[in-house]
Amino acid sequence: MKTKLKELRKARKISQEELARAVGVTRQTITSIEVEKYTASLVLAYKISKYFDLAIEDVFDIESEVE
Amino acid sequence: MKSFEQTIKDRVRWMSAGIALIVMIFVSNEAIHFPSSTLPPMEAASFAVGFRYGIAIGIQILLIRQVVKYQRALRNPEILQDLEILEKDERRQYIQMKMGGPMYSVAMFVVAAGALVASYVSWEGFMALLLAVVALALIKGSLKLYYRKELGA
Repeated sequence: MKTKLKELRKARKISQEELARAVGVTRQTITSIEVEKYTASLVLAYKISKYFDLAIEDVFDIESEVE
Repeated sequence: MKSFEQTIKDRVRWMSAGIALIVMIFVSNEAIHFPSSTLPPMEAASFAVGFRYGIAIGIQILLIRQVVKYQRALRNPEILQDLEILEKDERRQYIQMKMGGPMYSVAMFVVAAGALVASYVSWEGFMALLLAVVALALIKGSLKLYYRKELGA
């Protein structure tokens, strides 16, 4: 799934490790989401979006997955 | 976090019991002198004994390693949190799920092939492997039924 996670993280100067710890996953999971190899579950997508204070669709391009 | 800590404590308890049980089996095996020596060719008998000891020692080492790891985590909240994250990581669980499903069928096929080969060589070996296939099939069937019921389909 397409995502703006990397851009958001870089803009806020947050490391993958920090984000991973905050949302309760491993750093590898964050890497996989960023390189679009793994699609986060709804719960994880929600946690990540909440961490950035954004809506899920502002972080993840769900439309690209639906098409 | 608290419930995970309790889970780890429970695991330590069970694993410690497992370690003690293996030691007891070892000691009683030495004392009673189990039937391995009655197996036909001496080489086969000694191989079987070696295999048993190997398995027991291997399990023992794994259990001790795990208990040490858990004890360290119980003493340090940061290590405990890392362990919780690692165990509950959804990508890791997804990989295990993807791996586990097909692997079970492959294992059943391999054991069934082993049973087929054993049927030409040894009746006992054939029966043991056949029982293993039946056990695997029963476990797979029960798990399938359980999860179907659990997921309401």
